[in-house]
Amino acid sequence: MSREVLIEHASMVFHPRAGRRGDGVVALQDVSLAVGEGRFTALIGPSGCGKSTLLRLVADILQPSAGRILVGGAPPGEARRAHAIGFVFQQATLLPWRSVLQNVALPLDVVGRGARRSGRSPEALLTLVGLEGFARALPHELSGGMQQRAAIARALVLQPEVLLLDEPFGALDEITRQRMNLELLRIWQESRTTALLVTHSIAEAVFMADEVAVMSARPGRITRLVPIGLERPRTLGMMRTAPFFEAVNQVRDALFGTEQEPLADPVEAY
Amino acid sequence: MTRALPLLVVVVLVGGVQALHALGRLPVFLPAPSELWAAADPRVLAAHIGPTLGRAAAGFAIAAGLALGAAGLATAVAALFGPIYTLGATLQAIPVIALTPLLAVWLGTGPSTQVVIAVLAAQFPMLAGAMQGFRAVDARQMELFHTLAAPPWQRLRLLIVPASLPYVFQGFKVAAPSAVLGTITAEWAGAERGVGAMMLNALFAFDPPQVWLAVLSACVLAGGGYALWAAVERLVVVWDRPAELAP
Repeated sequence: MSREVLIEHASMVFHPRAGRRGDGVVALQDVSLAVGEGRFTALIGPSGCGKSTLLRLVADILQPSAGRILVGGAPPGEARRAHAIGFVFQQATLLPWRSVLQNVALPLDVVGRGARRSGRSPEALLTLVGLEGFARALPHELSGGMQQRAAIARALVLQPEVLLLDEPFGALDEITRQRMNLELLRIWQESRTTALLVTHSIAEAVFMADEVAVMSARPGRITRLVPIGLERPRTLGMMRTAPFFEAVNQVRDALFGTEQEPLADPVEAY
Repeated sequence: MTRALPLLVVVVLVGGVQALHALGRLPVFLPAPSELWAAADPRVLAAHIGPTLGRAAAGFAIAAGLALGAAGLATAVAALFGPIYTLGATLQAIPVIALTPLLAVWLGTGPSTQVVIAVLAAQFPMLAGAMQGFRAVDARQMELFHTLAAPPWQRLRLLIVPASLPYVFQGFKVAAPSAVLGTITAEWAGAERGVGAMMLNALFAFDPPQVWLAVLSACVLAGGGYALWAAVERLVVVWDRPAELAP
């Protein structure tokens, strides 16, 4: 099950707090993006380009100042209340007083266990993310990577149709991150959700996504869409192939432009 | 070793005082441990400790209910946060010793005066703890519950209450001895029984062993109240304690 995510001319202006002077900060300006059912799109851009803000608009955590967002043809609030959106935060944000298994089951406690859809049990999800031996552990007893895997299992327990990932592995080391990416792709393919991943790693964006939306800052906007032609399922071996580098270079060009390095020009250098 | 140290200090002190007594070097107002032991009548002690314990426990329970309720109200209605905190702090600032005679005139010297004083003495630490605790939820956890479309009741039950527990227990641990000491102070204003009455009677009868027994009883009750909540806290709060409260 999945839903399409449509962003149409969305803008987001953060106004200064009442009583403070100054103009609003334009976090997003006229952003449009379509993520088809069951597709995987990555958002990449420098800090302050509004990529996290865009994700929060889709999750109905923030409301756009202008434009509109549709999740499965309806406003995001409807999808959120239908528990169709799974959100994985930058930090795992597990509740420290609950065991790992209880954390994964938290959404079921919120919704009421009776309302559970015929999805995977929390126990099965723990196995899926490779934490089957840690069901009774408390979050602070786990490493950062394990905590984040528990958070992913939690985001999947209500079988979301849209999975929003806000730099979920940003705090992890390169090796763990690579492994987590592979697991995430496997989980995504099994659960057939629509996925939107915010990242600041070019390689990660290309490796994971069907399409990479490149953003720029001040004001935040999408400057280019780079389709990724790599086959599914993705393998680590693909990261050494020409099509992978081709896509990485396209994204890099979109991020930094194709102009020469400033120091290469002798007049500029001196 | 660190656990044995306090015990060692007590043993050395008691032994030292007993030794000074044997040498005849103790002043008359400082009875030897053996004299205290001889003067301790379990029935008399129970007759005084029981009422104090009951009044302190009642005062603590009422204060806990009021403090948690007021903290909940302060958290739900932002405009009331400041006024409620100020009220709690003001009540805390009233000297119990000055209020007791007034209450004795209004309410008589029965248990109600002592319970009211215990409530006043115990309320503020619990109020302050709960008010801080109910706000201890971080923004990311709130976002998580928002994305889960959690109704207010579930937010309270699954997030706000558990997150507040370390702070609430901190308040309880400070408030329990306060309730005991408030009760004893109030008993000075004419209670017939209670550790405070025992203290006063012994004082006027110039009976140092009884005075010291009353003092020890007060210490045991106050320390016991702290220890009780510390034990409950250790059982309940098994996750990482907030950094500023960590030992």
